[in-house]
Amino acid sequence: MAQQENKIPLSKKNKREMSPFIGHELLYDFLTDSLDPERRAAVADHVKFSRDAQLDLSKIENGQKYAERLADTRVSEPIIEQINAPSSYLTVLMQKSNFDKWPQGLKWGLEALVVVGVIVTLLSVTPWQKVMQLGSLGGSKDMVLAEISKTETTAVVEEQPEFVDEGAKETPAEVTAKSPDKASVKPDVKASPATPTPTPTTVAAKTPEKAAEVPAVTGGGGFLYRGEIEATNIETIGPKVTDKIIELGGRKAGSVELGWKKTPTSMYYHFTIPEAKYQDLMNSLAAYGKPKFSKEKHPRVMPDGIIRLIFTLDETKK
Amino acid sequence: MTAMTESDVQSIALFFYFSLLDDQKAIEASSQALVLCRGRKNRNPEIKNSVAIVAATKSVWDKYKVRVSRGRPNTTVESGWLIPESLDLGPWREFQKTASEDELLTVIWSKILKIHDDDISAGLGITEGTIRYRLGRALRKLGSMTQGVSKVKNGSTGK
Repeated sequence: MAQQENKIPLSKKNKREMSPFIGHELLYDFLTDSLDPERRAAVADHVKFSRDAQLDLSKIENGQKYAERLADTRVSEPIIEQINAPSSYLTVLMQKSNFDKWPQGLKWGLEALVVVGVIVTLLSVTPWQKVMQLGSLGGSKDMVLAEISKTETTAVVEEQPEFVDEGAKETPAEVTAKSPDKASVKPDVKASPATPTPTPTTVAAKTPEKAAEVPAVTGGGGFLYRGEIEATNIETIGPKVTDKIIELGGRKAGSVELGWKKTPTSMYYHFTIPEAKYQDLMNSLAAYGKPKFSKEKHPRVMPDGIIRLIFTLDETKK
Repeated sequence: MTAMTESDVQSIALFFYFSLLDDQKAIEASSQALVLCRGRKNRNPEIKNSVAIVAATKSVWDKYKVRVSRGRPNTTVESGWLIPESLDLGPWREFQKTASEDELLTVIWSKILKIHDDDISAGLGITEGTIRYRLGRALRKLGSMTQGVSKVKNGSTGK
């Protein structure tokens, strides 16, 4: 002991004594042979006389053996591959945002929001029209009822070109009743070109009055000038009237062309014209016959300065 | 210095398996630690793999330790962690539950992953003496667990 104290004088009294506590704490170092010879001998002495130290040493040995057996654990290849696999964007995002640490309520709220978003997106993206059509191909009776409603909607849509037929509305009965007669009359007209027709000058004098007589209709919406004119030899006159309308800036309205031959003895004109040219048109028409025009209320409103007219040029009745 | 090998990946995986005792979380944590490890190696190619492993696993453990309820293992036999036959994990579960964080991690690094004490101390930035001290206490505790289990198995009360 004296020799050892001389070699390693660590204490103030040149002694290197070891308490039982230190002896206990150095047991692992003793077991792993990490102590210097002096310390090793001191711990060995301690172990020799201390039952607790012997028990502790035994525990450490057991622990070490057990840990070494645990060290034989191996990790299977699939797990290694999983670990080696690059992290997905979602995983990285979750890690960065510390999603696991978020309050539970917030997590559920977010998840619910995502689910709602997905449902809304699906509902808005789904082509329901096609789905319904596919469903109707199935042949159930309910779907047939849906088709009936479709036909109703088309009927409603057809109301729109109402004004096209406005002129035709007034005459069908008349036309059907008279058309055979007029057909028979027509050759006579051609045969007698000397049929008295009012001269442009005389009619021109009268038409302004007639035009002035057009009753002013008041009320909401727009207006429509509806009229008729009887003339002889409409086959010849018709194109001239059409040319005149175009010359005055008139434009076809509705679906048929200007001067459409509604019946063999009647030509149909549906057009728009600058309001300023209305009088000129009346003067021109007066050259062929006596125009009878009236101004009617109509739901369709025309742009300022433009008027809409519908009239028929009929063969003079004999 | 060499790049991270499969053996290093094994070490990282085992560290988290034994520290977390949770199959799935061990894989997640290992994946993160491996990324961290590679990052360290890229920044400092001179660093030893074992030192990088210690530093990275400690860093990821600090994140995961709050998420794991120690003493409630979540492992299955079929999950791909090949435990040696006839080895009872009971003492380790008990140790993982009761040991301090320092003791638990030091035993894993030193005795299971077989990392040298000087590398552990370099990775953690503490002295080798501290590592040895922790190991002594940890092994004593682990040893007492194994004795306790063996006594219970042999029908003794351990008195």
